[in-house]
Amino acid sequence: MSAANVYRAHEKKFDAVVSVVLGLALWELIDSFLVNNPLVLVGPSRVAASFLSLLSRGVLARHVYATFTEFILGYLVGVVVGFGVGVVMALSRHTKEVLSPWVTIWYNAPVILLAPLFITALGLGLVSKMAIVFIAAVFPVLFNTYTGMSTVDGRLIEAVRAFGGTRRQIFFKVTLPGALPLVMTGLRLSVGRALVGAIVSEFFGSRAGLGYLITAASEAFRTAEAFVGVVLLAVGGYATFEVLKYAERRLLPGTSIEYKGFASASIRREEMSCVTKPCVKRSR
Amino acid sequence: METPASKLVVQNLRKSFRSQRSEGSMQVFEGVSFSVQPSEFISLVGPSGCGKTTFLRILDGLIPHDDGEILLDGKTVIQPGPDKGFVFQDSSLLPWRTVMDNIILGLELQGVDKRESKKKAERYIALVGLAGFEQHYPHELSGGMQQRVNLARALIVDPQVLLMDEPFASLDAQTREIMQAELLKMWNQTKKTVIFVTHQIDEAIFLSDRVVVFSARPAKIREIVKVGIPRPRSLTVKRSKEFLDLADHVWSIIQDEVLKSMGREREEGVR
Ligand SMILES: Nc1ncnc2c1ncn2[C@@H]1O[C@H](COP(=O)(O)OP(=O)(O)OP(=O)(O)O)[C@@H](O)[C@H]1O
Ligand SMILES: [Mg+2]
Repeated sequence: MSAANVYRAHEKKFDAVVSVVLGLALWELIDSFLVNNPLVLVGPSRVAASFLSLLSRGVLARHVYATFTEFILGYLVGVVVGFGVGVVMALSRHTKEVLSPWVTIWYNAPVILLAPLFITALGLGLVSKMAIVFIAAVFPVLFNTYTGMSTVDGRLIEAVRAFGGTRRQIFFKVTLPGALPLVMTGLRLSVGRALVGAIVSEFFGSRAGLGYLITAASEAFRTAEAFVGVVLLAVGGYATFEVLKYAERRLLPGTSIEYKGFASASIRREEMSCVTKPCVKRSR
Repeated sequence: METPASKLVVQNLRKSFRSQRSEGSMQVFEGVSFSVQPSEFISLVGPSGCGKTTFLRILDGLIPHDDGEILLDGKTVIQPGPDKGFVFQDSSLLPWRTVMDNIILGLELQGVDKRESKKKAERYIALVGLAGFEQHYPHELSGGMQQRVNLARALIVDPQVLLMDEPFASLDAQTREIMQAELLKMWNQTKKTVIFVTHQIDEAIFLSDRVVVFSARPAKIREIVKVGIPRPRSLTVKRSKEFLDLADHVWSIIQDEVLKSMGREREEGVR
C-alpha cells in the first residue's frame, strides 16, 4: 500500500491526530514565547513533567481514585434510578402526573450550587459527592427514557399486538428497544453533568480528588499541577464518551438515519415539553 | 346465510367511536354482514374514511365492536392471534430487526424455537423473493421489498385468514402491478382466505373473487360484485372489456357515495 492509500484508509483518525499534535505545539509555542509566565500558563512539556512527578510520588493515584469512585458510584446509581423512574413514568400516567413537577424543578435547578449544603449535611467524604453526582446524572437519563418510551411509534406496537403479542412482549420487544437510542443519549448527556458535579463539589470541600488537586494547586500557585488535573478530567470524560459510543453501536444495530436522527437530535429539544405536556405519539 | 363451509362469517356488525369533540358517538358502520368461503379472495372498497381499516382491525380482534358477531371457522373472534395474519399499509417492521428477525416475529411471540423458526422463514423468504436479504435492515430495503417482508411476516404464522390493509398503496404504479401479480401467485400456492382493502378499483377487481363495496359513513355494504374473470389472470386482463365494465360499475357506485357524503358534510358544516 502506498502512503496515499494508508492515509485514505485512516483519513479521519489521521486528521484527528494531526489536529491534536498541532494544538499541543501551538500551546507550547504560546507558553514559551508569548505568555512567558508560569503562574498564568504552562506548556504541555511542563504539564507532562508535573504529571510524572505527581505520578511517581503516588499522589495522583489517590486523587484519581477518589474522583473516579465518586463519579462512577454516583453515576451508576443515578443511571439505574433514572432509567427505572423513567420507565415507571412512561407506564403509569398517574406516576407521571405526580412526579413531573418535581422532575422539572430539579432538572432545571442549578443543583451544583447546593453542593455546600450537601457537604454540610453529609460530610467532606465520598457520600456528599456521590449524592451530587447522582442528582446531576439522574435527570437526563430519566427524561430521555421517559420520552423514548412514550414516543415509540404506535404502529409498531399495533403490529406486535396483531400477531398476538402480550403486554409483556410489547414492552420487551417494542417499547424498550424503541426507546434505546434515547436512553443512550441520556447516558451520554449524564456523563458530562456527573463529572462536573464531582469536581465542583470537591471545590467546595474535600480531602482528595482531582477537583481538590486543582484548587489546592491553584491556591499554592502550582499552575502546572492544576493543569494536570484539568487534562486528566478531559481525558476521562473523552474515554467515557467513547465507551458509551461503542456500546451504542453494539446495542443499536439497525440504526437507520431516521432512527438515529430521531434519537439524538429531535428529542433533546422536546424533552422538557414532554414532561409538562402530554406527548404526542409519533406518526407520519 | 351461514353455511357450515364458510371460513369467515360476519353478522350484523356495528361499530361507533366515542366522538372527541361533542357528546355522543360517531357511527362508523352498521348492519355489515357477509360470509367468505375458504380460499376466497375478497376485496373491500369504499370512499375514504368509511371504516375499512376499522373493519379489518375488528376482524383481527385488535379493537372491540359494539354489536354483531364474527366467526372464524365457526369460532367467535375475540382477540388477535396466529389464526389471523395482518399486513399493514406501510411497513410496520421493527427498524432494529433484520429481515429474518422481522419475519419470525409472529413465531417468536408464540414461543417457537428460534432455529426452527429460521428454517421455516427461509421458505417464506424465497416465496416473497427476498433470498439474500435475510440480514438486511428495513431501512436498507425499497418500499416494495419492505412490503414483501410484511407479507412474509403474516404468512409464516400460517393464518386461517389474511387481512391486508392497502398493502400496496405507498408503492409506485409499476411496483404495485408487479406486487399484485406476485400476490396472486402466492395466493395460488398457499390458498389462503384473503380480505384485501384497497382504494384502487382495478386492483380490487384484478385480485378478487368478489369485491365488497362499502357506502359512505355510516357505512353499509352497498353491493357485493362478483368477478367472473377466469384464473389464472395475467395483467393483460386489465384491458379486457369484461374487466373495464366491472371497473366502471364499481367506480360509479363509489362516485355516487362520495358525492352523497360530500353533500352530507356540507349540510353538517352549515348547521
Ligand atoms: N381510534 C379511533 N377513535 C376515533 N375515531 C376513529 C378511530 N379510528 C378511526 N376513527 C374514525 O373512524 C372513521 C373510519 O376510519 P377508518 O380509518 O376505518 O377509515 P378507512 O375507510 O380505512 O379510511 P381510508 O380509506 O382513508 O384508509 C374515520 O372517520 C376516522 O376518523
Ligand atoms: Mg384505512
